[in-house]
Amino acid sequence: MEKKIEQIFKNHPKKLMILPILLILFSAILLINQQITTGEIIQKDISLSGGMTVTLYTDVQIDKALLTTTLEKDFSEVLIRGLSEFGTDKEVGIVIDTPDINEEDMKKGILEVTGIKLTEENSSIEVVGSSLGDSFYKQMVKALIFAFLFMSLVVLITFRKLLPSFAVVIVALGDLMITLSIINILDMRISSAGIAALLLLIGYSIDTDVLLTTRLLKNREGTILESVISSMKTGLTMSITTIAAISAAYFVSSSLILKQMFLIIIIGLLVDIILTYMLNAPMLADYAEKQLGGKN
Amino acid sequence: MAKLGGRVWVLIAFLFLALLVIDPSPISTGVEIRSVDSNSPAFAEGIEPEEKILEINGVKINDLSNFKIETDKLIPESQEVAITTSAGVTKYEIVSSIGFKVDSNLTIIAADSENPLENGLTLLKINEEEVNDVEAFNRIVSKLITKNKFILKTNKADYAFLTTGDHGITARKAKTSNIEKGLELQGGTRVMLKPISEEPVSSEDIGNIIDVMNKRMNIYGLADIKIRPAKDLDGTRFVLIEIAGATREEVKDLISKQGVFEAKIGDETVFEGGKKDIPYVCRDDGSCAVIESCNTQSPEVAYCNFRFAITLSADAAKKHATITDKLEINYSGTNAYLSKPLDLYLDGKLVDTLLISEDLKGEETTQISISGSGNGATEELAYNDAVAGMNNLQTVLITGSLPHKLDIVKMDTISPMMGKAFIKNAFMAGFLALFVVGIVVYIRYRKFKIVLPMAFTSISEVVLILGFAALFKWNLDLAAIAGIIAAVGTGIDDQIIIVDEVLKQRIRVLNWKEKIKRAFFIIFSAYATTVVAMLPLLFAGAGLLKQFAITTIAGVTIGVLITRPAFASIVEKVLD
Repeated sequence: MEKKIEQIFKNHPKKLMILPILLILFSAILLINQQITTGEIIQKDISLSGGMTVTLYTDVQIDKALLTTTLEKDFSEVLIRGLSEFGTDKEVGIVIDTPDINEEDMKKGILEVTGIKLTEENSSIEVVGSSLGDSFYKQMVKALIFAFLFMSLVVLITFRKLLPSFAVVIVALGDLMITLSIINILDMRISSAGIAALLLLIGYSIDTDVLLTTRLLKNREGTILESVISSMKTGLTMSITTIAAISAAYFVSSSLILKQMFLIIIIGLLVDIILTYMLNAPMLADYAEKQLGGKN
Repeated sequence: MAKLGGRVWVLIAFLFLALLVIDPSPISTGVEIRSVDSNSPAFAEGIEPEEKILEINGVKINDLSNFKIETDKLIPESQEVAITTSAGVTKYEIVSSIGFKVDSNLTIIAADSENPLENGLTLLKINEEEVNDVEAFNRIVSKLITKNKFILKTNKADYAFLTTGDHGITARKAKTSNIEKGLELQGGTRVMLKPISEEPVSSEDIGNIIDVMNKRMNIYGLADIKIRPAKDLDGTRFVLIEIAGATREEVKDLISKQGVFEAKIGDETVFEGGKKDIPYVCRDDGSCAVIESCNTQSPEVAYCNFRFAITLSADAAKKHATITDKLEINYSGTNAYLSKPLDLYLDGKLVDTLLISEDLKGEETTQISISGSGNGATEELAYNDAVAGMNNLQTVLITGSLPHKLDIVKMDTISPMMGKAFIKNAFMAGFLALFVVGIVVYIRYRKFKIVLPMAFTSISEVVLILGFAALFKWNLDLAAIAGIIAAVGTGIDDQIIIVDEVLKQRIRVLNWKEKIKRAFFIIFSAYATTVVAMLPLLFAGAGLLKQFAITTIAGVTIGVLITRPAFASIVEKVLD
């Protein structure tokens, strides 16, 4: 395994970069297309667009199709998902999303179809005004941009070299773009917590790049290739433990909000592995070699 | 066993402190007061939420079932009463209430739905005792319904009062630690309010709003309320309220009203709500705050009137005198009234119009009687509506108005049932995640000597973050839990970096110090990027994700300063 990687790195470092660059370009096209066709770069959920989410906890099996058609008489759009408990596949409740805020009609509709009266005990109701949802979204986008700028600055201060810092930022940005595209392909609606997960993802993604850059440029021992391999070993262990832990938490979690955060981090970390070792590593190796001026 | 390094001792000291702050007492006995109903003898005694109940009538209270058994004993035994009305004698069983009320003409109003008596009858006798007026009615009823002595011993004080079983205290299991559970963990309602205003809202305005709200909530007797200001990146200010143990409707009712109360004669304002004009408002006193004259107008429409007394300040009384002095006197039949009435407005809506009797002309009167009405499909509903209306009006008269109207921009109600399941679920997810990490790390290094310290370090991080949360009284909610996961996740990453730097085959032989220094260069750089990534979240989105950012930042800071250095020290010992 190590030999193989070594060989690829030695013989065709630039070829490695083709896949990540294509992925980034392709995701850019997808995102621009999404922006043009829908007017938004992502699909926003109720917490970012405004509306109402009703969670009903019940052992009774509910006819979701019937409930949907019933509610659609009063609501412009209705999305119903089932809640299941980990371990058993038993449904423990349903989650209803709608952009219209009308608690009375919702209570009436649910009572009509299921015979269940919504109470403070058996249900959770979350309501977000559309103006708040909108300003929320704008704020989160701003937060994302600021986080990005701050991080680029920290990386630049840490390494004090333009090109390697630039590479780190490109990887983080690419990770963000590809992850967003995958989220869109999966038809996921992003919540405000989901955007927080994206911020966290940038943090995680940068960790492996910082490791790589430090081992290659600052504290290098042995050849450039040895350094790449050693940081790959450490970095992959880091990513795999995180992915494994978060995946376990994803399957157990009952909270849909946490589940979305976990899924975004899992996707992002997988993408990050590709970008860090197929894009950043060859770029840095090339840079390090030029710095040495062929001494090695 | 190798001697533990200084850093490990630092970690152990912090762990000890954290446990001290969290004060976990999973086997804690006893119950505490969750809320006290504002119209209850317990409220009048000054009993407050969060007091721990030790004894009731000399019996030790260890759990909720004890509490229920002892308080149930306070309920009087049922007895039969014979009520003589204009329609004859009716007999039925009563427990803690006679089951109806009377207005000033001794007409039966607001009869309970299971009561065989009908509204509108005139009350003559209760068990052979003649009832001549309302006072006699109250006297006979209170004699009839035995009140039991309720001696309550809490951790704060001893209380003793009489009750018919309707004591107004709801209890819950005593807290098992000092960690404050947030909305998702215990259920409740979270409301985000935005002041409606053309001009920018200052932090002082928000402070005033919070002040009035706190007063209103206290008067209503709601428990477990947290009100705090919030601000977003654009400088828009919000008020965030979290309440456990109140219904959605109650909360909406209470906060969506600005509560501008004005009493006007013609176009001139005589007095407004608030302490300045109205130093005293009569409440919870049957003599000066009453519901009266309920009647059914048509089968589906019933009305009840309420009336309560207020005291005006000297200034407001003077104003009253000046304005009424200019008015003429109109005569209608045998009564004489001033030419203009006193109009009461609440939030710009006319609540009631009071005719002013001629003898008040030019008088500096300080005693004013405020009235209004409630309605409903039945007299019972109308009665309840009148009580709610009176409560509401009294509340705004006492607290004054909010400086701005408030718009409910977000309102979440989380079921308490979900909260319990959520905690269990979070623990399960945490342990499973840790277990999986252990397996991956073992596969990579094949050494329990590495797996065990890692698990210990990660658990320590969780404990320290929780200790921090308990110390600063953070609300542990969903966002905070996500933050803990994020912090512990970076912790595992950092520990792997430390182990690898130490284990690396070196060409140059570095000493331990150098190896750890190298590991921490990477760790601190990564730390800095995580912190700056979280900084914007402290301000964005009106603070709803603030808890996530704070917890993450606090967690990674604790990590790089305390737990991860200790881990490096342990690894140094076990691998050397």
